[in-house]
This record gives sequence, C-alpha cells and structure tokens, in this order.
Amino acid sequence: MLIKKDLTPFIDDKKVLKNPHKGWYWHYYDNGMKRKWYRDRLTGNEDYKEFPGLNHLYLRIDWSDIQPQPDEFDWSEVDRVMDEWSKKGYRFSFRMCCSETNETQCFATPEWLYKMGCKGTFIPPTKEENPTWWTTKFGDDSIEVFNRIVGDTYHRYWEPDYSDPLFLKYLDIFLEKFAEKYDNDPRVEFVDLGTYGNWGEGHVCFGTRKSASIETLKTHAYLHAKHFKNKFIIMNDDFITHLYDCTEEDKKELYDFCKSLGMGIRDDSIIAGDYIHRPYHTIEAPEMFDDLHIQAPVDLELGHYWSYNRDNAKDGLVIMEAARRAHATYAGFHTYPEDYLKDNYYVVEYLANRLGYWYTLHSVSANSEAYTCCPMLLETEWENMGFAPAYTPFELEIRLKSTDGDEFFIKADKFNNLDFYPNKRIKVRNILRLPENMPQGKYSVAIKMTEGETPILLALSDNIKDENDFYTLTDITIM
Amino acid sequence: MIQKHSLISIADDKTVIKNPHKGWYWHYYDNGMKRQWYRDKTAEGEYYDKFPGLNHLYLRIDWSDVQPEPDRFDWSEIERTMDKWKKYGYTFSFRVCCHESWPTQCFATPKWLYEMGCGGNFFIRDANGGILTDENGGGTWEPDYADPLFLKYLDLFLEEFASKFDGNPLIEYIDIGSYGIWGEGHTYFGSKKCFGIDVLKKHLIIHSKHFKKTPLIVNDDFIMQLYNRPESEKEELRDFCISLGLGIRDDSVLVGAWDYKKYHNVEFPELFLTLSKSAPANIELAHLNHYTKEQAKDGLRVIEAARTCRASYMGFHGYPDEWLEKYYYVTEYLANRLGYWYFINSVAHNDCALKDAPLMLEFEWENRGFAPCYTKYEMKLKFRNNDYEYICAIPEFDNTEFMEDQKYIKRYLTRIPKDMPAGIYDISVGIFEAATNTSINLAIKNEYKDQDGFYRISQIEIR
Repeated sequence: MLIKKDLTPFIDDKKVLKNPHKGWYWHYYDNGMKRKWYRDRLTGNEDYKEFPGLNHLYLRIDWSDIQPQPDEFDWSEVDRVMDEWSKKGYRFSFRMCCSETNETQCFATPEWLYKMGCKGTFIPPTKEENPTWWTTKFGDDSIEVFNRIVGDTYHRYWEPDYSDPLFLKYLDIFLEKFAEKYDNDPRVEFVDLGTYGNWGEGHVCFGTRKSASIETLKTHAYLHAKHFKNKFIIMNDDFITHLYDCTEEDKKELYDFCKSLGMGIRDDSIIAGDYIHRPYHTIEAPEMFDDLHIQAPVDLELGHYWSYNRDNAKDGLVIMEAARRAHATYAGFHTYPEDYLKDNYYVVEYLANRLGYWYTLHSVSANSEAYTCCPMLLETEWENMGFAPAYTPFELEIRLKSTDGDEFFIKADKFNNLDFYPNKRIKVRNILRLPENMPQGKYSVAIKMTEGETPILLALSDNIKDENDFYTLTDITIM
Repeated sequence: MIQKHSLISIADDKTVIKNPHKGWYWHYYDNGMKRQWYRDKTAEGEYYDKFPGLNHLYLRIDWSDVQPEPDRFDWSEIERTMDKWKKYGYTFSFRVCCHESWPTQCFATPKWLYEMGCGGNFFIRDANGGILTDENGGGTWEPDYADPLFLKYLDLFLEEFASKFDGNPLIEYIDIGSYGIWGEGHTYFGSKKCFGIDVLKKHLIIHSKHFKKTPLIVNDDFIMQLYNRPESEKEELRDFCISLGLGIRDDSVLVGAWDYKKYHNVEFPELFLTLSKSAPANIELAHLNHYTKEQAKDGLRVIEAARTCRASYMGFHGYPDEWLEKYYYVTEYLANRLGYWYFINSVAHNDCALKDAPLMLEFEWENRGFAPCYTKYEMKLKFRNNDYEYICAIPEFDNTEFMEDQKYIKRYLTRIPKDMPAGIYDISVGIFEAATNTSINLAIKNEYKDQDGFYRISQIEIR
C-alpha cells in the first residue's frame, strides 16, 4: 500500500540554517580599500559565527585600488582577505567603482588614465561645505566654469567620462583581468555592475548629474557580461531609474538589454532617508525585481547605518517587507557587524532563513514494500519557505539503510530544485531502481541534498538528521 | 480604444486606514469586571485615536458580573462603557467566562447557581503553583460544565444575552467562553478534566442557537486540549465547529518558550486555515507582563502568527500606552494587514462611452491583508463633472471572494443613462457597508477621495 507520511511535525522553522548562495553580507571594503570603515575594529580573532546567516563579505573597491599602473594588477590585498575569511566559511562578492565622492579618493578610476588624457570632470565642493568659496571665486555654481579655471586644484573628486574610448578600452582590459582571476573562483558569489556612477550605484547624483548615453551604459553592461561567463552579474536599479534627460523608451531599451544578458538586480540604500513618495518597502521600481528575480539573485543594501534609525527602518519591518517584496536572496548591512547585530538581532535572525531559498518537506510517500531489481516510487512534497528561488541546481541523494547497517545510495534523477518557487508546494516523484544485491529486510529511507560536497540543510528537525546530513523520512520493507 | 490605467502611482500602503471588522482590540474588561487592569490608567479624555487600527474593545466579563440573581440581569455597566466608547468609533466583542483563577473572583459562574446545587469543585494553587482541590471552599469554583442545572441556566443566560446584543452592529463577534479557565476552552488551572465532547457540543449549540447574526468564535484549545482523548474526538469536534460556521482564536501566543511550536507559536495553524474560511480568525497575545522582547522577537513573531493564521483581529493585553511605546511599528504594520486591505492596481475601459449604452470597466483588485473580509460590501461608481453627477451600483461586486494576498481581475458592466449630458467625466469608485452606511477606505492616496467616500481613478468621455 502506498503510504503517505506526514512530515510537518518535523518541520523546524526556528533554527537558522547556513546554506550557500543566500543570506546576509557585510560591507568589508567599503567605498574602496583606502577607507577603513567597518573593518578597522577587527582584532583578527573574529569569525562572526554568532551572526545568523552571514554568508559573505562584500568587497566594494575602486579600480585604482587594483591597477596602480596600466600594466600592473595588484590583487594581493584582496587575496589576503579572501584567504583569511574563506577559511572561516565565508564567500565574497565584488563591486568595482570608478567614482567616489571625497577628496581622499579623488581617483577611483586610476589617475594614470586621467593623465593619459581620458576625459572627465572635477567635482567641486558643495555650497554647503564651502559657501564663502563659491561666492568669492565664481559667483555661480557652474561645474564647467569650475573645471576650466581651478578644477584640478580645488576639486573634491574626479568623475571620468564613462564614454571616453580610452576609458572603455582600459575598462575592458581591467575586466578581462578581473574575470580571469575570479570568474571561476567558487568563493565568489556575484559581481556587481559598479563601473558607472557614484560609488558604483548607477547614478551620477553626486557628480555631473549628466547621464551617460544608453549606448555607453550598454557597453558597460556588455563588458561585464563578456568577461564574466560564470558569475551572476547584478545591476543597480538606479542604472535604469536614475537616468537624467532620458526617455522611457531608452530606459526600456537599456533594461531589456540587461535583462537579456541574464542580470540580477540590486537596490542600494533602501533605508537612507524618509522616501516619502515611495511605498512602505521603499523600493522604487518593484516590478523590475519581480521580473529579474526569475533569472538571477536580488540583492538589497540597507544604507550606511548612520543614515537610518528606528523610525525610518520601522524597527526593521521596512527591511523585512523590502526583502519579501523584492524576492531578495542577499541583504547587506552597512556598518560594523557587532553594532548591527546588537540593534537588529531578531530581524537578522528572521531574514537569515528567509532570504533566498529555504526548503522543507511536508510529506513523503512510498509503498510499504518494494522489490529488489524493481522500480520503487518515492514521492516527496517540498516547500520553499524563502523569499526567492535558488539559482544553483542541487542534487538529491537517497539512502536506504538496513537494520544491519548496510547502505545503498541512489541519485534522484528527477529532481530540480530550481523549480521550487516560494510559497508553493511541489511534489517530486522519483522512480528508483533498487540494486540487485540488496538483502531483504527493513530499511530506513533518508535523503540528502547537496551542491558538490556541500550539504544543503533543510528546515527539518535535527532529530531526524544524522552526522552525514541525511534526513531519515520513513521506513520500507524490501522483499 | 480600451485603455488600461495603472493606479500604482496613486496607491498608498503607508497611511493606516481604519476600516470595519478588522484590526486591533484592547482587553478593556479583563478577567471579569471586578479587575481594573488595563482600563484604570486611562485618563479622562483619552480615546486612543493615535492607536493605529484600534478597532474594538474586548469585554471579557464573567457570567456573575451580569446576572447577580437568577431572574435579574444587569447590563448597566456594559451599556455605560459602550455608550462612552462607541462615540469614538469603536465597536465591541464579548467573552463571558464561567471560571476565573483569582480567589477574589471565586464565582465567575454565579454563586446562586452553586447554592442551588449545581455541581463543581473549588481549586486552589499550592505554594509550588500546583492546583489542588480545596474541600473548604477556598480558591475558585469550577462548575461542572455538564451539570443539567448549569446548562439550563447557561441556556437562559445566553438567550437573554443574545436578545440584547445579537445582530447589534456595534458587536463584532462573540467569543465562546463558557467552558474552561478564563473561558479559554481548557481546564488546565482547574480540574484538568476534559468534559465529554457531547457536553462541549452542547456549549456550542447553545451559543449558536441564540446568536443567529453575530459571528461566533471558538478557542483552538476548546478543540485540541481534550486531555487523553482520541484524535477522532478532536476531529469530530473540529468538524462540528466547521459545520456551525465558527471562527477561531488562539490565546496567549506569546506565553512560554514553546520549543516544540513553530516560529509563530501557534500550535494548530491548520485549524486556522480551515475555520477562517467561514468566519474571522483572532489572535490574543497574552498579558504584556508575561512576555519579553526576546519571546516576541521584536514583534516579528506576532506578525508571523497573524500572517499564518489569516488573522482579522489581534488583541494586545496590556495598557494601550505601554503597548504602543514598546511595539508601535508592529502595531502600525499590522493595522492595515490584519483582515482585508484592498488595492485597485488598474482600471481599464474604453476611452469614450455612449449614452443609453453599456460600458465595461475592468478592475484589478488586490487584497494585501492577511484575511478575506467576511462582510459583503457594495460597490458604486460615480461619473462626475462640473455640471452633472451620476452614481450607479455594481451588484455583481463581491468583496468576500478577495482572498488574502491575491489579485483579481473583475469585469463590470454598467449602463450610461440616456439623459446624461455629453462631456468629460471623472470616474470614481466607492465601497460601502450598507448596514452601517460606512464607506470602506481603500489603499489609495487620500487626495483622490471625496467627501462621500469615492476615489477618483480615471476619466472618460461620454458622447
């Protein structure tokens, strides 16, 4: 008789599971390597195991950090950090920026490119920062006038001309080298499309406020996609939404181009400011997230911690709602991990499981008896309780273990976790061919999901999980 | 040409909107009228109008509070409270209890019933918190819920209770509280005995017999806390509740560590999914002093309980000011999401319509609340310009089919009057509860709403 066993009593939705390709990340290098923020308190002994669901370190660095000379690429600092933290179980993601917004990081794009003749604009101090200077020197606020007269002396930072052929030529070379080094590195989760705009955010709000052409932006997207063949590339929503003097048709063209390249999407600073005109979750264009999360991960960045408070984060509920609405797989806090955890522990814990995929089983069905050499049906009923699908295929292995301890392993051939969309129950029916040499008797039936050697943990009680990460689901008699 | 007009830009999911038959409630009388908790600090002139989504006052009283003598019913205190608070837009719900656990409330069931010879036992807590039978008549008296005398007078009481309040639009629902300690449907702090399911069914029948219009809500413990009884009896009782169309409630979801429960702490979520199909689900969070920020997980556990259980109502159990100080943002978040919360994502119609001819309008509705609405509302359309106004009803509108977190494309036909002057008209939509003449607020920016409760959503040319 086909027996359906209810597994809901074994569902554990409280224990935080650490699984790959999902969860929280920490802005480790933040606005380039020169700034020490968010890592300058480290003693070397931290492993942040107590941080629920901390998945990776986000390395937001500047192009100039890595390529000090046209023919020199220095990855030593990045390699050192990746060596240290990968041993502690963490992965990494990258954004390479070409424009920062302070004097100490004037050249996020390498200065040698400026000296070679690459066009660009020096951005002056704001009136708020130096009102007297503005009045006495110029009497108007024209960036063009500023650049013509004293731009190279009194500037704060340099914004490259993102369309300059020289810029694009060397960006192409840089991205080629970058991909050569990390495109096949399993420790790297994704690469942010960060070569355009302030802080790599895809806008020039704190720069020239003149958007590059659609063709230029497409070139930036293309160069990433050309070189990174094995990593997800994630674009910023502002790359589309914050284009000045641009028609809706042009935005659509750029969006469709990025979509056709298989990109994921990200929103920066969802908790910065009050965002009076936005919905509760503060995401400006949720429909883009609806569309792109089908093909690649969604990433949310919460804004520098000093820019938000209990009231604009609404005790963390805005973050929760944004993650749910945007189908987020990753969320990045933007401060010292201890500080963030101290203030926001329960939201961190809540989202640790819910970001990305989070699998559980509701039932298993099998005949009470099976026969060696014959097919055996095993039907499992799955639910993805996370906010997003997984984007990496996993494997399912079935183990039959006799009361004498004999073990037989069978790979489930009809198993595709990529189909497990959130909040839907999916029945997976596998017809297993039992080995000929199986002795008759009673067997336990257990399953294990894996990505290579890495087990994928399920939201099931540890009481039915063994030390090899198999979950025992039911029993069967082999005749 | 038929144009689809997106209304996303005029949606407002941040403003808390007050709508009937959903939201927060305040335990006003709490464990009987004799205790002053949770209402004794309310200053004169304080009506909690700043409390997001506060819908009603929960009146958890004892039978003995309102029937001091077998032939005397005293509703004066209730009426005084209702008169005072209804003026500020609040409604009410009831639980009438038959057993309390405080010695000062020895007789929640009227003492005269005990003196008449109704069966029952006195229970007292020992120093370790255990429950002992007290032969000397100390502690509190738990009636024999099966005693024919008890059931006879309960029947008479509920008849009187219903004759006074059944169908009263001020009453949201009646919580079935005649069985168990604090009316919670279990006898854990009393006899720890489970009465037969025939007795439990009788309690349900008596309520259902008398309350024909006002929704009834049963506690999950009433069905599931049948000590040492077979599962089949629980299933029988559950099915009986379903057949009576009862709603469901869980008390004290934040009490205790509950390691074996899910994150949301609701022990039987499947009961909520079943019973919430026909009547509202209700979550009570436990006395505020019984739980901590850790247990509530900063309120996230409360949200998950509400979402999982399709809750229409949620009751905080403390002083309103203290609750709000600790949990303002959770309160605000749930104010809209408890129960129904209607959005119109788009409206499509031809760019012109002809007089004395039908006009099709297609709406995309979305209920972003956690539950359906259990009250059927009316939909009206208004066509208006500076010279003319025409309002028509849309009889095929049925909001009760808008389930939680679902979108619905609905097509409606109306007919443009033949005497309607040609011109450009604003199209507005309004949703109303006919019985109370209340306009239902939609999640649309307030500047699109007129004084009659209609929301301006489009324009059309009438030829």
